Amino acid sequence: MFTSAFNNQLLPRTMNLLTSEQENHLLEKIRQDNDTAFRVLFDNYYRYLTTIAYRYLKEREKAKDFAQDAFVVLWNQRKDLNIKIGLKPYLRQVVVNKCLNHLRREERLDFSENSKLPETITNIDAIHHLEKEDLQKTVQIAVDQLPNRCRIIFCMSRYEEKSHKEISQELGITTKTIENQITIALKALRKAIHKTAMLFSF
Amino acid sequence: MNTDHYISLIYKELKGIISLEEVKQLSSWELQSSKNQKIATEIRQVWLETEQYEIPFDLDHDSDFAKIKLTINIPEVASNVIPIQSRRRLWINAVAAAAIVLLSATFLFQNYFQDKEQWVEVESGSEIMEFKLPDGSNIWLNAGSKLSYPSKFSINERLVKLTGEAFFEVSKKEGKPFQVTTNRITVTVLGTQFNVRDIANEKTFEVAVQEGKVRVQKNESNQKVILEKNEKATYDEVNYLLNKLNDKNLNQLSWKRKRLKFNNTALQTALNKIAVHYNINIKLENKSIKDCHISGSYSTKTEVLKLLQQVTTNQKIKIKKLNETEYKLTGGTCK
Repeated sequence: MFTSAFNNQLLPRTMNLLTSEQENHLLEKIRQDNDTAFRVLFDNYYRYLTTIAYRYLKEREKAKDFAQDAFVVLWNQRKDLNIKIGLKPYLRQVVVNKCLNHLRREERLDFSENSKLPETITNIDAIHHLEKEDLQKTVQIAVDQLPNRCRIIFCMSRYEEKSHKEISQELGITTKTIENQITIALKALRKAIHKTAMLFSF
Repeated sequence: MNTDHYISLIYKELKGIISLEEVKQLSSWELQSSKNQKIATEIRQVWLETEQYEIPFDLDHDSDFAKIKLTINIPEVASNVIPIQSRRRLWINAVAAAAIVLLSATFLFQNYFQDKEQWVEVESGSEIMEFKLPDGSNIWLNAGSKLSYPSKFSINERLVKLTGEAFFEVSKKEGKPFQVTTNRITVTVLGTQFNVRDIANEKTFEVAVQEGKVRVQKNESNQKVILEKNEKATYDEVNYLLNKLNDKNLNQLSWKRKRLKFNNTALQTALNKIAVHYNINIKLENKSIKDCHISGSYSTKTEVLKLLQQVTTNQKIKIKKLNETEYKLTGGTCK
């Protein structure tokens, strides 16, 4: 009744994290124009890529578009693709480049060293609607409200687990700026936690 | 030095890039005042709380993948393509080329891909696997189990077939029920979290609901029960009866818990993670070892005490269990 399209080594062991063996296996199938393999890859990495794009852009539709674009790029280049960094970092890179280009085009991104550093986040009113146990959500809302540059740097370090060197190369900024921006982020987030704690202390 | 400097040091500590000199600086600053200590604790808490980041909206894998397919060219591999499909295909590509995506076109397109039904079969082997289905539902497949699903769900239902045990976190889709069929039962749901266990050589099978509502039906019979949150159904092999029970603690889900992984993580951070995971308090008495680096992957199926021993084995720490939720760590040195 069930035709086995794949064997077990192909599928993910952890969410959004195919092993390199599984990735290679999928890529091999995709090279042979197998759209089911393409779909399996999509199902496992689409959310991951959309999340990255959303953290950069804060625009739902654009974030989804860019994540989808990455798959289109992969498909179009599948025959002569020689990925050394792994499929996931490759897709991520496509998405990040698109995001940064987009932000630069719209002049929403100023990474120059002497641009003014924002003091703290301005608006954490949304937090008032949350329950106490939603601290994690609180912090996430606060992350979303960090100024563009600050948020992107923080997210690259925290969620994409990039080293200072990688961040500075990708964004063209000094490690000092990275540290400054992350300090600003942490301070703002701490403030958000404080505010929540006070709201629920009665 | 102002506070910012030390916050930046805490960040470096959490990131695992702090130098020995900076560790000393930071600890002496923390010891200076309780205010400093409070700031440090809160910054570390922020770091912990930001571990997860969820986008604040849902993704529709089917329609979004259909969009991708409209912009790419997939050569026909299968030889059994009937002409109607190929004509449809051409027409849709023409529309895509003109960059006009009409709703009806998407609809046709989805129909087209349904014709070519392909099943994906996932076997977990000796490890628990987590993966996503085409509708965005999350699956935890226990070791030695198998789940089959169509590479694309049909428009009005989502059917999967399970052998063994799996936990389902089903994404809500109106008018598109999710159905799990095993050898002996069929479970029907509309967006919920539940566990299904039907293992070939076990006498009974079990369905446990963590959230939402499901219907369990014994295959080839009309015995069925409706389960809600914290209820489970088991099978009485002797009387051939489907039973409904209350089950608040859902301990049978422990298999789905993950491993804790540390990679040059500061001891304090590692302990915080363990505390959160097991919902306990861990007190580290000897603050001088809080930055010892911890690495390794630990199964959380282990008891807390044993896990703590495993994690801190290099530091020669004494672990004392004060009560069910309190643990105290004393002594020890960084190796």
